[in-house]
Amino acid sequence: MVCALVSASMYAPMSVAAQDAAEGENTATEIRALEHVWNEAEARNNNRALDLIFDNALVYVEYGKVMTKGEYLLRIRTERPHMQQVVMEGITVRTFDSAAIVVGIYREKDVKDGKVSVSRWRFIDTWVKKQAGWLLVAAASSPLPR
Amino acid sequence: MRSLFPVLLLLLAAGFGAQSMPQADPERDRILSLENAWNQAVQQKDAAALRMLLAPDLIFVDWDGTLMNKAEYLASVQSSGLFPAHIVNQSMTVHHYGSVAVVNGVCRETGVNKGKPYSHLERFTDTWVLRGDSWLCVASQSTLAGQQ
Repeated sequence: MVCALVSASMYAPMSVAAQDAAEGENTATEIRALEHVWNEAEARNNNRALDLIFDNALVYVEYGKVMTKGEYLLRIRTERPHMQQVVMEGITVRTFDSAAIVVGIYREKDVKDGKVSVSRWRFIDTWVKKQAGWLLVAAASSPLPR
Repeated sequence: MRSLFPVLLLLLAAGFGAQSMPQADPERDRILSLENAWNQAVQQKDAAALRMLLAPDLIFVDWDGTLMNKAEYLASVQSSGLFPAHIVNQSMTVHHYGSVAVVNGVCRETGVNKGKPYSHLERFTDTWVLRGDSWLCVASQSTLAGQQ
């Protein structure tokens, strides 16, 4: 009995830590999937999908300017599909209870007037868990030197 | 220690001042005070104050895209050739989601780096997380404001 109690007390903290780690990993997987949904939706001008994963108070920073959710969705709606190609070069997800931070680099290929330009950006996205699920509340990127 | 004193006062004000004033969202004012304390700490190269403000697992992306962890960021602030003269935040907005807050704003920084004067206007986005009774910055991203 003593042995059972000792072994139980030894394993109990381990199992809590393991559970936390598993939850963190599950969240990270979910967030990676949402980042993928975002890319796919943007490439296909799918505003409905974007509306579902963006918080209404989204703060989106692009080229040093702030855009609201409405402004961002309007831009996606009016943009011609497939003119921009965004490729992720790898992302890292860190979870903090009800927040998740994604940091990574994406490569953007843009075609304007027949000319192709490629730029690379380092970004940080902030997701918050609300009743409706994980929602993007902030996204900002900095251009990387070519 | 002398340089820590004014920043420490700001940090204490962020903790207690908000409690004595009835506000719609006292946490908002607290977080704005912490943003100002951060600027003062950078200006004074006050690593002790910065350690109190920043989470151990901080992710920091500078305006030029450089990625830093907390140790790297503290080292960059304490760089011997860097002398920030003025760091002023403008147009800050706070979105508060329970134990998470996102601050967006513009920061004007002037000073001298490696003997050359510099002036940056940066758009920043900071994410703060409440751990115990303290708000800690877990992610900070800057980019030059209004560039295209």
